[in-house]
Amino acid sequence: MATKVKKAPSGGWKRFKSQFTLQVFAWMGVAFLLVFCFVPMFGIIIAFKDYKLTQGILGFFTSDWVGLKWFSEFYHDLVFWPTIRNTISMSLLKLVFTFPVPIIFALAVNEVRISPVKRTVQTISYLPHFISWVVVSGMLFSFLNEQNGLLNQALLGMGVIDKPISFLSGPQYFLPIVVISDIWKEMGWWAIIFLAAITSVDLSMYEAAKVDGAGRLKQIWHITLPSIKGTIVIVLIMSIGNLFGGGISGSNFDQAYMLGNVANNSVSEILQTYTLKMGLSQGRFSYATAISLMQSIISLILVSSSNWVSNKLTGTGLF
Amino acid sequence: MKMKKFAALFLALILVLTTFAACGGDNNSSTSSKTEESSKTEESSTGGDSSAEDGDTNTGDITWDTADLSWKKNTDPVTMTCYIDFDWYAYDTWGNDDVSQLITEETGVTLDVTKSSDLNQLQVLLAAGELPDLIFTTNQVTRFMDPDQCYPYDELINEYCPEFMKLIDPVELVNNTQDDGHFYTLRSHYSSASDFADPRWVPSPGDSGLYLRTDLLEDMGKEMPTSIEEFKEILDAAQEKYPDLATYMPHPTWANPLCEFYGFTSPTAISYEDDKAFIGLSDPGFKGWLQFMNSLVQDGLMSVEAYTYEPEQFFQIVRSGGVFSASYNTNLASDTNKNYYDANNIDAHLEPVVAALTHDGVDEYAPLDAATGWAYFFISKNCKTPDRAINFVEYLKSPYGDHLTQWGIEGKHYDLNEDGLLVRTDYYLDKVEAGEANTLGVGPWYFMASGLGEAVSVSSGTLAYPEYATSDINLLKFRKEHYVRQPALAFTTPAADTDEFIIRTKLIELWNNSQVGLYSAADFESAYNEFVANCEQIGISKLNDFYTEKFQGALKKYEDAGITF
Repeated sequence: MATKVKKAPSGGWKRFKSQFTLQVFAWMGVAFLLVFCFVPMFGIIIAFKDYKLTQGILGFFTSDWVGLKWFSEFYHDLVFWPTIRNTISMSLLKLVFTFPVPIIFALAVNEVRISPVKRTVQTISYLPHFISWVVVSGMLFSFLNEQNGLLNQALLGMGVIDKPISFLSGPQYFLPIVVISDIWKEMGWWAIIFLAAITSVDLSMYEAAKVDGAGRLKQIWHITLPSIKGTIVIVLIMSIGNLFGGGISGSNFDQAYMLGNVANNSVSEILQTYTLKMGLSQGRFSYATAISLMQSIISLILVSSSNWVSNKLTGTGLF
Repeated sequence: MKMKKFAALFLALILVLTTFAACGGDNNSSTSSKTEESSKTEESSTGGDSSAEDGDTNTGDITWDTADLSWKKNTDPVTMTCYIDFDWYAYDTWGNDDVSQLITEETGVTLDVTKSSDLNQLQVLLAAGELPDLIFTTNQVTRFMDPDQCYPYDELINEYCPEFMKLIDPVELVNNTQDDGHFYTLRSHYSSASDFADPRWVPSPGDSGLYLRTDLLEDMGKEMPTSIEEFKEILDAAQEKYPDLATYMPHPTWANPLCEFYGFTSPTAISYEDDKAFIGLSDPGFKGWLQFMNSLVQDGLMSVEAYTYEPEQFFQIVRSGGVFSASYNTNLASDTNKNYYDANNIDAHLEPVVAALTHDGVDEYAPLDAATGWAYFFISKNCKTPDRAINFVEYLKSPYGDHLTQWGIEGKHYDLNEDGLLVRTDYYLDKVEAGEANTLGVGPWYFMASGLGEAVSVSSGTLAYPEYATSDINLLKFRKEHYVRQPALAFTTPAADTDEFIIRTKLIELWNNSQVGLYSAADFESAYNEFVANCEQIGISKLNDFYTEKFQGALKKYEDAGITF
């Protein structure tokens, strides 16, 4: 018996009316983006103006234009190169070390055949995602501080060291702590996306590979990884686009703000924390906006270039 | 089906409306309700020797006891929003304690208090045009000394309580008047020359202090140090004998007391010599102090990790007996000994160093006090009842208001003894012992407090807890003997957003970012020279020229007004 399929009404208005409820929800999303993401972008103009805090919102319009004065000041600022260097090194290290880990972890979890174990591992691994960086920094203090931190106590107790290590104040320890804590916190969460992609791989390919004598590693290398290539590339482009924000993982700002301090400032001061200091702490909103805008422009260039490269090499891209 | 659609549509509309509603702020929270008149209690004179009661500030027939002072004329209920810009403040609610309840009863004023949770919060409120009615702050105050943001007190006084002007100490007017001829506040905790001379007067407990564990000193057979060199020798010996303790732990954010032994207050405070003023980074003693701090780190006597701690983490270590020596404000010893060591049977005892430690045989100890007061209480232009706000200020500024907010309610919280000191009542002491001090309200509403009022309260601590408070008071009295008062320094702060303001903020930022590196540099000379070069690049010389110009101008202002110190 043939089923009669209801044809979508032709004509824009009729079609809109038939989707009215869905349209309302879609437009709410659009309104949200407009109000919270696009309208505030108007504030960018103060990066080119001599805006003063006491002028209020009206000052956006009435303050004097100063061209690229704030950009120039930042370029000549003593902190310019150190903050750029710190931002890039923190972002790149996190990308290099934290991006592959969820993929490897997803592949490993996928190979676990005992379902309860698999579910338990997944649950335990993504729970840290829900812990805020404020709490994580408190935990790190308890583990790593010099006075009575657990790690120092353990190392001293075992005779590995004869005096406590300044994990929290030594600039040399900041980046390793950032990367390791980030992997611990976000690995399980991002593995979910890759696990979801793996479940969509055609099982008959594995069966065929088995018949051809492929072991587990060969199956992963020749079937699983190529099958989830599209997902990996898209996540990678998103990571590069948000490179300075922290890539796919924990926010660079949260980590630098919570784990940074006066002792490791030489490596922990990044563009975003400096923007906060200049903007909210010092009330220099124009200057802070200029610094932030510079970072946004670099991010835009990065996401466009990575998308272009990806399109050329793999035929896959975001746009 | 239709019902479902309507329900979905209704839900969507609600969501949209609430989203937009959340964007709009209602800053019209100050109300001037005139529904009922609250009962007014007769103002009672509480005694004490404040200058106002001595007659110093009484002019003509007007005194603080005059029956028809403006604040007494309208005591209808009114609510004003009040922002307290101190994240360490112990109170964040009005009306839950004896003192605020009595103030409301007497004046009709209720405060809708917001305590700062982040020191950046006020700047955001300012930029958004959402300043509360009243602001109590010490942060970037020049932004509020602006007739577009806050009411000048002088204009409000002339309009709503002209007699108040005659009751204010003329020196205080000079201290607070800005370049535009207005004064936007009367800074709290100001002490006049006669207050300073009062035997009960001691400096603020917020001054910095250096402490040693006397139980361990005794154990080592050592005495309190009299010089920086002796201090270091003691630390060396302590480190060897008690390697598990932090040998010297400074509070992460408080001014370091060791600076004063080198002749300056702190690297970012203003110093002066003759008629020249300069930032502490340019003080002749700065390098010597920095070198000493560096030697402490190099010799393993101080860990720079202390500077990464939150204040609570510092206290946790000190209070658990984990330090040999520490520095903070002047009541660290009494608080720690009473509330932590003795209360928890920890065998430890802290005592302050009450001596001018010399370095290389030189005594440079001369704590500097700008002597113009501490915090600023602004009335913002958003205040819908500026008349009631300035009348509230008049009430708080009176000796009665001063004593009420700083000492509490006479008869209920204290009685004055023949020396003019506070004898705490059983009611008060029981509340404190029961951990219910917050229900008393003694202290937090001191927006117009006098320095003498605070000093009397502090000095009286020896009556309630002699075994604990005496050492604090001894330190404060010792500091008073060496105090140098120079109000002209208070006029050197650059106006917001000027070149000098930016240089100053950048220098402070540079110092904050560099200090630990300088303390721990293996090659001190080269690290120091690089730091000095960076200061020059930022414009430290220009800032010092500005300070000197403003300082000399202020000195002339005082000279012209016939005010000497």
